[in-house]
Amino acid sequence: MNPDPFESRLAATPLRELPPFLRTRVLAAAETRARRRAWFWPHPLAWGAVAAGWMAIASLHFAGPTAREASTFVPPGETPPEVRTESYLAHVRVRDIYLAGEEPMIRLDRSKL
Amino acid sequence: MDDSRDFLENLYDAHAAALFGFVLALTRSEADASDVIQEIFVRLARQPRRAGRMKNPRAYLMQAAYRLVIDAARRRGTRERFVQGHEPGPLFAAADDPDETAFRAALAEALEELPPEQRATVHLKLWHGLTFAEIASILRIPANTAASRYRYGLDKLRSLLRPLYEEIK
Repeated sequence: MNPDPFESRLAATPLRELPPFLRTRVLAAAETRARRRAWFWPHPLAWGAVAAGWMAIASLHFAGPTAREASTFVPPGETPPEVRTESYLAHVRVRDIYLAGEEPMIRLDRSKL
Repeated sequence: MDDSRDFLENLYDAHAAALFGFVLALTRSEADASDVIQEIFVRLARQPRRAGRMKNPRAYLMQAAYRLVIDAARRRGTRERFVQGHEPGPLFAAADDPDETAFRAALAEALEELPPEQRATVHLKLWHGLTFAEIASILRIPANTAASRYRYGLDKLRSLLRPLYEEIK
């Protein structure tokens, strides 16, 4: 479809030119942004180092004892916690009997007499 | 980074004038048009990979500019008019001939009378020579809609400018 003379007349009207200062301003702003991006955006090598670090942490985590195992671990030479608790409770029972003014009942194992 | 700078410089030299004319036609503000162009180039600098994937840089830039202008107008809460209470800057180059000066001023005023969507379509068709399909992809509308918007816009310009056009023809 050919344009009519009116359309051609409008299309021939020249638009104003770009302000000359704009090129410097726009490109300077874009370059500043690109520099900032380059500064904050880690290099692929840095991403690799971060990934390797996380893998090392994960392998150490899974190679060691679990949290439950760690909590029940008794170093050699130490009394296990459940035995310590039992002994403590026996001590408390005897103390309560004394405090109540009673003689502690000694249970004899007759088979050993 | 030098590649990126060269790329942006080449892009600016090739398309900034057209982009400025388009945004100026929509906003009628030199400051807004400058800000929109700057924002587009800053975004391109932030996403160099996206910039490198552009198939049609002119269409991409026009589309980005149109979105920015529309978004700014929505933020301001004015869908009717994009111009915000300031004296509109000249849209056309200055002319030596007084008749021509008068015609260009009247044309700029008449364009401002068009709704923004029609103005964008008329501008892209008349001053960038784009097809309706290209305009449709930039404005994200069907090609038929672009064609009808152009037709309505042109008819309105014709009716507004007829007396002056006939006089200086």
